[in-house]
Parts: sequence; structure tokens; C-alpha cells
Amino acid sequence: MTVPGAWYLVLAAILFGIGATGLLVRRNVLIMFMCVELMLNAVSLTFVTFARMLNDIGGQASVFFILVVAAAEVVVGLGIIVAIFRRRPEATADDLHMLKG
Amino acid sequence: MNAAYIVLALPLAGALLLVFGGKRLGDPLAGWLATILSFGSFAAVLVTWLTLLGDNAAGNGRLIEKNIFTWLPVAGLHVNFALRIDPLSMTMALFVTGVGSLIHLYSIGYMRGDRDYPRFFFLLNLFLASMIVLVMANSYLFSFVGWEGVGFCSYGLVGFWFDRESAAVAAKKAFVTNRVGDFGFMVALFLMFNHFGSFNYSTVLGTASSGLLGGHATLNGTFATGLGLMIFLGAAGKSAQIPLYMWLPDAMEGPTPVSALIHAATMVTAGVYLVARSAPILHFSHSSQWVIACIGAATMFFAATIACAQNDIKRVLAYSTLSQLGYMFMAEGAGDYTSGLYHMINHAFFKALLFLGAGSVIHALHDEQDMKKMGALRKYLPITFPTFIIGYLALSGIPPFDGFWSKDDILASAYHMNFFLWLAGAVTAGLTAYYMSRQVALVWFGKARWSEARGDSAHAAVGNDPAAEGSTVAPGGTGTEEAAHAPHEGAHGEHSGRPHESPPVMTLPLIILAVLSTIGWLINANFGGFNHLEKFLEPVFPTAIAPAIHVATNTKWVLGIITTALAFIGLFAGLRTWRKVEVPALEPAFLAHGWYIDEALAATVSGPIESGADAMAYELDARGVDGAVNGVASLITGTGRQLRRVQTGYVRNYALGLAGGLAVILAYVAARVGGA
Amino acid sequence: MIAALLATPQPMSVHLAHASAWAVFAVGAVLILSGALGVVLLRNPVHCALMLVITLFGIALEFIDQSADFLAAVQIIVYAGAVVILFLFVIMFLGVDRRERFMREPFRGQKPLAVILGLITLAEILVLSRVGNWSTGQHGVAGDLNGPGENIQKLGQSIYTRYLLPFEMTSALLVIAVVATVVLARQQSRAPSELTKDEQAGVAAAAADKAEAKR
Repeated sequence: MTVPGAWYLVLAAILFGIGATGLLVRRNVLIMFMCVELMLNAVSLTFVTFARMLNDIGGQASVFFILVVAAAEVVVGLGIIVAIFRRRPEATADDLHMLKG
Repeated sequence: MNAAYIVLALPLAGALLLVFGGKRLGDPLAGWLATILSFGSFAAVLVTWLTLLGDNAAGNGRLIEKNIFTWLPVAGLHVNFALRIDPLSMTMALFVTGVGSLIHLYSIGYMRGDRDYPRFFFLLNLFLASMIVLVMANSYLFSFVGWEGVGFCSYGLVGFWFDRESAAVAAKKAFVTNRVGDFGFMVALFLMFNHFGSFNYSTVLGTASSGLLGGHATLNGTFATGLGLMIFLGAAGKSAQIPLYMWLPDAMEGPTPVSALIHAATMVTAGVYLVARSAPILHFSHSSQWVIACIGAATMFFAATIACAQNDIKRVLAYSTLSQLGYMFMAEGAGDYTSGLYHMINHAFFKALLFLGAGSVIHALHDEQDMKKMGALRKYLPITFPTFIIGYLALSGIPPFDGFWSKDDILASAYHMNFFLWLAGAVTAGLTAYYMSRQVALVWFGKARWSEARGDSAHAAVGNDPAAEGSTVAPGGTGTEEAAHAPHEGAHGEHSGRPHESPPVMTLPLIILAVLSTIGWLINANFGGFNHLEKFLEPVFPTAIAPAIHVATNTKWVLGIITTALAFIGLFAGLRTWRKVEVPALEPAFLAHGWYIDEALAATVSGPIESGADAMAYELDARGVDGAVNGVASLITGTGRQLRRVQTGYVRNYALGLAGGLAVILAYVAARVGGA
Repeated sequence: MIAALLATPQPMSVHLAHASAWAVFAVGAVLILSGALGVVLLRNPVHCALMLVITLFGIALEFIDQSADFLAAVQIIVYAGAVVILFLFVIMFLGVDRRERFMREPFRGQKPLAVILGLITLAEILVLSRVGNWSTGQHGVAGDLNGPGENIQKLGQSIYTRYLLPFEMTSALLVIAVVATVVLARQQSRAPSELTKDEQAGVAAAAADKAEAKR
């Protein structure tokens, strides 16, 4: 209990920022997906930190659900990506701009 | 007095029967049905008239109103469909139904064989019903219904042979020109409603019991002038006065009975009736009386000059009608309504007679209308010829035929108003005798020129005789009736080229009208207490609104003698001169072309007016109005086109927007929390 | 190290020593940040996936540091064992040579804007965490973290009692996701003429892009 919670929170914030920036910068759909995972993990870390700081098991329970949902999300997301890019030479999000106005 | 309903009901029923069952009735039956109903209407008018004569209560000023139903029960305004039975409406109804019935009878023979026979009689009956509405209505608004009804029937009958382009054009011209007059009528209606709050003749014009103008002691002079001139504009449109006269000569495109009924005897006198009806209003506007008199005189003289140089037998009569209508308006402008109406009745007799006679001639010559191709017909048409001569003498103002009496009255009143009005009338009387003599000489006397033109090959040449087309058609556009009258032609195909007298159904009306033209002086002759019409109309034109016109008896004698002398001079000059057929010096082109008025109008319309309209259409409308509308549209389109770029279709761009939004929200929350 | 930690049958409630706690935090932080930067910056998707594994390990470390022992284990099993493997599988399936072309950025300013926005968001989160007092003072209803009993026992009690309904719902969610993925992946290949209009357009657009890339 010696490392103050604020450190963890700052660490999580930085991780979240990196993930968000990567999501905006990268064009490969798979890597964008990974960046989403980074952001999710940052949030998980925050939850765990708050659970410790507030002496509440609820934070850890939330992380448990995040893990489950993230797993489902990855499964479905990757399935969609496979379905889309099976016929496409490149795996970039920018190739999908048929909704252009 | 309930016979008044029958007056209107019979022709209306006839029109309904003919429009639905006309085809089934077929050729002669449809005509007989219409004619019988028309005569029935005339009989009903006679009964009504006799009842009115018997109803001698002076208190109501010989005025009876018969309500049919309430038409417009709008708050404060109740317009009834009601018939007004008074001396003026009875006078009109009598000669409208009387002459109308005779012309119905004549048409049975004339229209024989036309493929649209039932439609013709449907329109005739509808016309008669509309005309009755017009003259017997109890309010200006109800009269206007009839006014438009006769306008429609006129349109339908002028363009009766609508497959001929000139007829369709003439019908359109008549209709459009009439719209200008109708505009005046409608403005008059609005003014009237604004000022009196009613359209009823009784309210607007007042009755003998309620006083003049519905209790208004007097009428503002300017307002009376405006109202009077607007009424006169409507009248000028219907009665073909300057400047709205040009449709009437072209209206001769219609079948000849139509010309006789609508464009000589009845419809064109609707304006005369309307002005006479509005006498109490005109009484308060001396200037509008002057305008009416002067325009009447101008039309009278102007039309007479044109008639001198026309070759079409019907166009001569059409211009003559214009001229005679001018006489009537001059009389009304001079305040002598009785003379105007008297002349109108006489004119209905002799002009209908002349038109029907001309129709008989046209019929005999297989639809030839060029007088230069007639001549020596007196031997071939033994009944038409004497009746036509009677009409001719009546129109020329030769005593004792009826035209003399009414014309004499009018000229005396004109002299009382202004010497120059009288002078114009007297000169026109001479001109009238001259051009009618020319017509008589060309049609009835001289050598027979129809045989040269038609010959034995008449039937082969029918309708496409280039000489006939080229030389006869007057510039106004009236052709002959031959092209569209083909069925008619076929009905007489077994005859040779020799002219033949018309059947009895056509000659009988001629005889009756000739008799009426001869004894017309019984109605209102200027001597010996024969002034029945004047006495009958007295309640309508009391001295308060139509002061008696006093011309010294000696002066009257002098004026009458001068006018009659002028008429005789014109008569003999015409007959002498036109033993020859071609006298170019007396047929100057500018008269033959009607003073080039039509051409000038066409040039004006196709010149400045059309370019003005073009400017409006292609510059102001296309660029100004459309530009504003399209500008708004393209502004929106352009904005949308620019905004569309936001929708790049790239998910990462949208995510960027999301991140931007997150940053803004966080900043807001930070500011709130930090502030708190 | 992690494996050793997991393998050691020592009581998990025993807190690491003062110095070692800081050391674990530092090591975890370094792993997390370097891995995250690797994911964002490396070009080869395979490398990115491997860097992601490093980050996830770092997270697990921080979990252990904060006495979330069960979550740390699940983190490694689920993420490193399943998710990243799935990523790698898809990368291999689609072809490792599919690199993104950084040269062709359709929207100029996307990258700098993204970096700037990322920094701004980070700064704002930090500021918020400093200035705000987010605790209400009310005690949670899920149970104490530091009470008696093992961490896994307390977590299990909370999930299977208070959060039973969400737990069942997540299990249903997982089943649905599995079925959906099977349906998505089962798509049979068709002849080009059988493609829908959009798909044909997509193929054509991709071919055009390829041609452009070769120039």
C-alpha cells in the first residue's frame, strides 16, 4: 500500500491517451483494434486502483465484466474484419469509405 | 304574373334537353323543339306584359319582382335570383324573344344538313335563356350572369364551325375583346357594392316610391362619372363601340342566323340596355353622358365609312350594325333613352330582316358571300327581294318605314345637345343610304355575275376557287361560309348553279319582319299620339332623371327634311354609281381595310407590347424572379456541397471528431469542477 | 517473473514489501508504456501484437500490485492466451505483408490533430483527477476489499450474489458472440458475378488503389 493510487491513475491516463492517439493515427484495422484494447486496459487499471483506494470489491467486479465483454468484442470484431477483408488487398480502415458524403 | 317564370324556364329547359338528347332528336326535330320552346317563351312574355299593363297601380311605378331563390346569402348581402318586371325589361324581353323566335324558325331551314345541327339549337336556346336573365334580372350581379352567358353563347356560335381556323380566331377575338368590357362591368360592380352595399336595381337606382338612388338624394359627381364610365366600358365591349368594336365584323364568321340574332338584333344591344338601365346614375354625371354621346357618334360615322367599301355582304351589314349602335348610344348620351330604345327595337326588326335576307341570298348562291359575284338576283328570289328592299329602306331612313322615325327622334335630341352631333348623324344617314344602295345594286340589280364565277362546274370549284378566295376576302379575315358548310352544300347538290328561293321556314320570318319594319312607326311615331313606347317607359325614365327634350316643332321639321334629303341623295347616288361593278375611286383601300385599325393593333401588339412582354418574361421573370428563387436553392445546394466534405467516409475522421468532442466536454467539466 | 509469482503458493493477501511494491509498479509502468508505444508506432502488425502482450503483462503486474490477484490471472489467461492469439491468427489469415501505406493519408492534419487531441485529453484527465474530489464518502455495497478472506473468495461472493444477473447476461453475450462469429466466418466464396453491387465496387476501388500504389 505504499504506492499512492494517484500514480496508478496517471499511468492509466497516459495509457489511455496513447491508445486513443494510436486509434486516430493508425490505419490498419487490426492495430486500431489493439489500440482499443489498450484503452480498455487503462480503464481496467483505473477500476482496480479505485477499488483499492476506496476499499470496495465492486471495482474488481467491474473489471471482471470488462474482461468478458472485451473478449466477446474481440471475437465479433475480428470476425467482421475477416469477413470484410477477405476480398480486399489491404487491411486499412480508409479503404472503407463508401459512406462518403 | 307567374308567366314570368315560364319565360326563363322554357329556353333553359330546351337547352338542357338539347344538350343531353339533341343527337337523338336529330336534324329537323331538334330545331323544331328549340323553336317551339322559344315561341312559348315569347307567348309567356306577352302574357306577362299584358298583366303588367293591366296592373296600373302608379304607386309601385309598374314594378314587380318575382323571387326565384336566394343566391348569395352572405352576411349583410343578399343577392336573389329574382326577375324584375318593369316596362324596360318587358320592352327588351318582348323583342328579344319575338325576334329570337323568328330566327329560330329561320334556322331550321338554314342549318339543314349541318352535322352539328343539335349543338346549334342548344346554343341558340341557351343564348335566349341568358339574354332573358340579362334583361329581366333584378340586380346588376344577376344581370352579369346573363351577360357572361350571352358572351359564352356568342363565343360558341361565332366559332360554331370551329374546324375552320378563321372562325376559331374570330370567336377568340370576340371573347377576349369582351373580357375588356367585362372588366369595366366588374369594376362598376365593385364600386357599386362599396357605395350602395347592394347590387339590386331597386336599391342602387331607387324606385318611384323610395326616391332616387335608394334614398341618396344625390351622388358625388366624380363617383358618378367613374361608375358611369365603367358601366359604359362594359356596354362598349358588348355593344362593339370604339375602342372595343373590332370583334363584331369578324364575328360574321358565325352562321348567318347567329349574325342576325346575336350580332345585330339582341346581344349587341345589351350594352344599350345596360346604359338605359343605369340612367339614374348617368344623370349625375354630365361628363360621362358626353363621353357616351361622342363615342356613339364617332362609332356611327367611322363604321359607316368602312361599310361603303366592303365587298362581303355580311360585313357591310356588320359595319352597319356598329353604325346603328352608335346612333343608339348617341341618343342615350343625349339623355333621350326612349329614342335609343325605340331605335334598338326598329333596328332589331330591319337588321334581322337584312341579315336573314342576306342569309337567303348566300343560301341561294351556295355560300357565296362576295357581292361582286352576285347581281340580278331579283328574278330568282321573289320573296327575299321585296322583303330585303323593305329592310333596306327602313335602314336608310326613308319614310314611312320604321328606321326613319327613330332616327329622326335621335337626331333631334342630338341637335338639342350639340349641333355637331346632329351633323355627324345626318351625314351618317346619307352614308347609310349610300352603302345600302350599293349593296342593293350589287346584289339585286345589274348583270348576273354568279354564273361566270360558278358556271356549270360550280360543285367542283366549291371551296377552293382561288379567284373567290383571293379577291373577295376582306382583310379582317372573314372568309366565305362555303368550306365548313359542306353538308349544307351537299344537301343542295342536286340543284344546278341556278339560284333558288329558300324554303318557307326561311321566308316566313322574312315576311313577318318586313311587316314589322313597315309598321314599326305604330310603336312610337312622333306624331298623332302614337308615342306608346314613351308613355310605357315613363316610370323607368321619369323627368327627374331624364328631363324632357324640347325641340321646337319647326326646327324638327327642318331637321327632318334635311336628314331625309340627305338619305335620298345617298340613295340615288348609290344606286346610280353602282350600276357598274368596279369603281375603285370609291373603294379606297383604307376604307376596305377598316382604316387599318386591325393592322395598327397587330403592329402594336407584335411590336412594343410583345417586346415589352418578352422583356418581362425573359429578363425580369427569368432573371429577377427565377433568379431569386434559384439563388436561394443554389445557396442551399452550395452550402450542402461544402458541408458534404465533412462526411469523408473515413472512420478515423469521425473518431477524430469524437476525440475533439471528448476534449471539449472534459474541458467543460474541468472548468465547472475547478470553478466550484 | 510473473510465472514465478503465479506459481508460488504463498498467500496472495500478503503485501509486498515497501521497496518491492515501488519496484513492481515501476517495472509494470515501463512495460505498459513501452508496449503501448510499440503498438502505436511499429509497422508490422505482428510486432504490434507482440508489443500488446507486453502491455497486458504490465497491466497484470499492476493488478497484483494492488491485490487484484484473480484479475491478474484472468488478464493473462484471457488476453495473452486468447485475445492476442486471436489477433495473431487473423493477421496471419489475412496476410502479414499487408502493411498500411503511411504515405497516403487521405485527410491532411489527421496525425498532428490526433496527437494534439490525445495530449489535450491526457492533460485534462490529469487536471480533473487533481482538482476534483470524486468520492461521495458513502460506502460501497459490493463488499469490502480489505476484509477477511481471500481476494478470489470475496470477488466470487460479490459476483455470484450481488452481480448474478449481469454475470448471467455476460455468459449469454459470450454465446451470442461465438455464434455470430461462426456465421460471419462461414460466408461462402462466390463468383465475382454473384457479388453485390457494393462488393463489386469495393473490389474495383481496391484494384484502383493498387494500381495507384504501384505508380
